[in-house]
Amino acid sequence: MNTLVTHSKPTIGVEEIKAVVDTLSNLELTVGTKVREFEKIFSEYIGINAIATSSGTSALHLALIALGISKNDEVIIPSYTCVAVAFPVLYQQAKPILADVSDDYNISVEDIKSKITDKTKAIIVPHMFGYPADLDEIKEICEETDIYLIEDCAQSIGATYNDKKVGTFGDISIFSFNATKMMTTIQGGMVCTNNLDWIQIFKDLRYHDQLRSFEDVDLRLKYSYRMSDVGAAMGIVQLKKLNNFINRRREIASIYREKLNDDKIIHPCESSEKRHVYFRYVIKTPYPSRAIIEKMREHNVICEVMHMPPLSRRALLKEFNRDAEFPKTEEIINFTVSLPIYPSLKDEEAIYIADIFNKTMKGMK
Amino acid sequence: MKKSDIFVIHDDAQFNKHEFQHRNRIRVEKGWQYLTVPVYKEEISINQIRIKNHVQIGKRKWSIAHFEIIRDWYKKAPYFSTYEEELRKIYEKEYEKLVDLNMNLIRFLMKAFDIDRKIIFSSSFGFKSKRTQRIIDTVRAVGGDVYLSGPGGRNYLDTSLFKDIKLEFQDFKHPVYKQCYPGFVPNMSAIDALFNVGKMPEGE
Repeated sequence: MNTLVTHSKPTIGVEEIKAVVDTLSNLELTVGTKVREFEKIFSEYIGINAIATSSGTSALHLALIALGISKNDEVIIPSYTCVAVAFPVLYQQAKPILADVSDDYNISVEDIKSKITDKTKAIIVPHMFGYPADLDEIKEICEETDIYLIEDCAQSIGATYNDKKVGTFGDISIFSFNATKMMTTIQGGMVCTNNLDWIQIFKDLRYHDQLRSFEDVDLRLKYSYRMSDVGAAMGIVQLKKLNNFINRRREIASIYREKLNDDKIIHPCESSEKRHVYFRYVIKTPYPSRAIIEKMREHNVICEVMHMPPLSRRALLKEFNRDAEFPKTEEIINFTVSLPIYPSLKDEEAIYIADIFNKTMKGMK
Repeated sequence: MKKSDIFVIHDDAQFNKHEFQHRNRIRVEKGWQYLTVPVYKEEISINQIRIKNHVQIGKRKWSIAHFEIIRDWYKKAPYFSTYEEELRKIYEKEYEKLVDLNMNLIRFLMKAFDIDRKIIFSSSFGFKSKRTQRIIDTVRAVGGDVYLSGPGGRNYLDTSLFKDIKLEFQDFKHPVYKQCYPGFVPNMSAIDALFNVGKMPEGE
């Protein structure tokens, strides 16, 4: 292939460009009209209340504040996920306690159990690469041990668990609309819950100049966590296209599943009760990831090892996780490869990528 | 409870995981937290609900963990030490069914607050009636002439059915007392008042 196939790419059409230009032309930058409209249709899509934010990270930060997470509280997060999950925990001076992951790349239920202490206040559960985590088991643990469940749906909007959308199982869920996510607002996020008290907290704290009165007796810290109307205008269009995006991602995944035929590789998990939305198509091989990625690059295909370095190797988190081991995380970062997958990827590109990958695997020793 | 002559425990009502049948709130420094007894959640009567005794919190059995969490948050409360050993014994015992744990906790609180009332289980009557009629049948069965309902009863009781039995609603005014952390957080478990205020004088 003569042109470079990138690992990820936003899917933007003329509708998004028109929506952005219209919003700019109306001088709607941070008025809130488009943001409210986006929140409304997002809430209808997901099924619970939704508040738009400046990013998935700010959405997670607001979630932790609403749950009262503060100094020295422990929050369990996976050792293998986006580092953005750990930072809001640290903003609150709480302790991110890492749990290893399972073969499906999601947080391990068994390791969660071993990490719970009296100080555990919440578990943040990302649905990795678009595949739902074991929500029934995790929810049960949370209910039995009085721990809040935050679903991190940054990679998994539209995925379902027993025919119910992810993001509706936890006490709070968060979403991200960064440039290459399932859908984008350029940068942005959403924080969702059925708890109206927490919704009010999100509204109160996402903007530092919210209340206009001569005297403000509110002692809470406030933030600049609003989504712009321009981003929301784009989000409105993208959300309408989301089902098509997901269907296209699943079509590309089917091509990979059929064409990648080396019997030494392990494809992403699929199961009848969990609907994968294929934010990423990550496969396990018996060979070092780096070697495969270099070979694919020689053929103009960009592949990646996702989330390097993992949280378990980050100096910032070491002090909270001394003596803990994360064997599955180590296996993943050494032996997995993420292939290009996005709605605008053509069938012939996916077939080409699979062909090159098969040849690469044959050449590996 | 103190206002009743006979206290009927509605043990054959259906279990509801959203209510306070297997959990309650305790005061902590930054507000409050739930303590939830891990149970097999089924749509059956409360007296059939079984406890998941294998559940661990921080490598200890759930019940030991609950006692230690209570102890850690209330050890500075003025009356905690008075009741500590009795409460510990309740949590150290293993119960198969939730109702047995709950009854031990209720009896502990009755003794601590000096409440001496006859307790009857509604399951002993074997009534098939539902909702308001069931309450009326229960009051008649114990020879009562007044039913003292919680304030929430206004929302669900069919008041037209109360003919020979007088219906009264509690006028509960939440007392404010000194808790062992700054500020007052209402609607805690009764142990919060017990550990902070002790056995309250008659009539309070």
